[in-house]
Amino acid sequence: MKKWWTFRGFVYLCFFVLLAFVWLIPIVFQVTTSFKSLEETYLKVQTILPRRWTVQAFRDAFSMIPLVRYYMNSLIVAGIVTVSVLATSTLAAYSFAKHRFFGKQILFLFILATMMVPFQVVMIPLYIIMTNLHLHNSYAGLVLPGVGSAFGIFLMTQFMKTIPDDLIDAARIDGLNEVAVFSRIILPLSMAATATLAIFTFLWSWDSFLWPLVVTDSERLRTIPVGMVFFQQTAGGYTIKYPHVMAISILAMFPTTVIFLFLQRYFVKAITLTGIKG
Amino acid sequence: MNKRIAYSVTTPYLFILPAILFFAVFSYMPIVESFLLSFRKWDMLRIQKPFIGLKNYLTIFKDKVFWTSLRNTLYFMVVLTTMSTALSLAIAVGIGGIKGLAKSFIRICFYIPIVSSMVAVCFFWRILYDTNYGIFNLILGKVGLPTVGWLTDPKNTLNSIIIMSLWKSLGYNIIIFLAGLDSIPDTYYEAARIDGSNRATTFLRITLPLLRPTTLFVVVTTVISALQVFTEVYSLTGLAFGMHNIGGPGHASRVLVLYIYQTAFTSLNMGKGAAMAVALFFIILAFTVVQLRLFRGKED
Repeated sequence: MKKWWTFRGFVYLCFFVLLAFVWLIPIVFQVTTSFKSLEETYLKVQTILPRRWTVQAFRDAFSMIPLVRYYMNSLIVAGIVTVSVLATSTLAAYSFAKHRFFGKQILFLFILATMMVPFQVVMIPLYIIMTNLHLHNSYAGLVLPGVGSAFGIFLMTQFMKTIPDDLIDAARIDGLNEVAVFSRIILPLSMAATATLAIFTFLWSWDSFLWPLVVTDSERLRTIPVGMVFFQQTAGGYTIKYPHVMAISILAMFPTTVIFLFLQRYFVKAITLTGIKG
Repeated sequence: MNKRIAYSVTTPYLFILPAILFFAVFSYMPIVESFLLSFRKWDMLRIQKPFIGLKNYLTIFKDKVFWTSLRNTLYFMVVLTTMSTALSLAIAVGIGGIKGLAKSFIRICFYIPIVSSMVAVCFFWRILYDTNYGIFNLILGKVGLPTVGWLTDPKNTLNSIIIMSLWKSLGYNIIIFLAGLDSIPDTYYEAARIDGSNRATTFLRITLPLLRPTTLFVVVTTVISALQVFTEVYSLTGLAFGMHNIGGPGHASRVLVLYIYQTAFTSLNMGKGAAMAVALFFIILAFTVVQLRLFRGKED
């Protein structure tokens, strides 16, 4: 294929690189504004690049909003949710993929059917359950509805089906019990899918907004998305400090973007695996 | 094959027990509870929840705001799904053959928005849309065009939210289409070339038909997530107009899930909220079934 050396190929390439750059413009504007001084954003004539670069907005951000607290909350919630989803999904998937037992198909369907139900349908009763158990305004309340994932069970089951049965039989003949087969054979062999599920669950949990908004009203427990929205709603929707808002949004996006840049391969695989199988 | 079973009968059940328990308590119980609640009147403060039959459903039926928010939701869904599917398909087909550094650059540009948290995205898009400082009006001003009230003009609010959602979610659909394209064997394209087929014909006769399952997946998932739109509207309009005007201006950007949330947790009308949630469930179910039928019908 030598089509990229032709003039037409070159124009074609430029077009898509340009289009991709257009997609990046909002982020460029976000970053450059965050390095402007507050006074500069009030000037009549605006430039894309700051006239004078300053990190004042980032410094102020930490005193304007308890960002560290929100980070910790988000990290705790997303971390526990991710570990729990991995545990419940891999355990259940091992059974669904590699065991024969009565009611397997129906139980699998019982779990998959929940993917059809939008979260808003269960949200109100879930809130009532949490209130009755006095778990609203607690980490348990934030985490519990997320510790199982039909998507995760489906993904892991599909993946574990590809592990050869002979390997498991050999291990059993060598005297390994089921727990040992699971932890020493199945888990190491499904690392790729597990990593994929972990990244996905973490991103999803980090981004989740509706449930944390519903189940907490204490400032102490706000995750980053909820904390940010409350900050902006209470601290002046009228006189917006542009550089500060930009700086806060950059800080909020930072962890997931870094995770993505390092683990890009797994991330893309996660979407394709589920996309095609779904 | 006659395999001897090497584990006790209960073992498989023990492995799935945590998952089953979870779904019983956190999915099935609330689903049933939601249906039951939709026939009751309850404000969360009282202990009694009197049974009122279909009255909640009748209230919804007569509620103008419900229909407005349903219309907004459907508009959001139709426009976003059409634009997102067409654009992501075009881009995936376009960039599928690009290699090297350009490939990495293009992909990162489209993928970064997906991994950014939605609220953070709303934070800075609220400023991009700012009437005075925003980049869109900055560009319009430079070109000499009149500036636009991207969020403040009720005619534009929902469209502006759609543009932002498109920007954020497009990369996801591009990835899926790229994977779908990858799964088409090269031999088909070679055969087409030998037969003298041009690019357009190849696309219409080979790529598009073979991408049908992928397209179905993209359309169905985009529709489902669009019908559940909430975070974008809540935070973008909340940031722009303050927390008492979320869904505004007026009802311009009120969508169904937002209205459910406000009915249940602001107006404390749990029964009506549950009834609307049940309605939403059936709307999503109906759309999914119809789409699966439509796509399946074409295959025969």
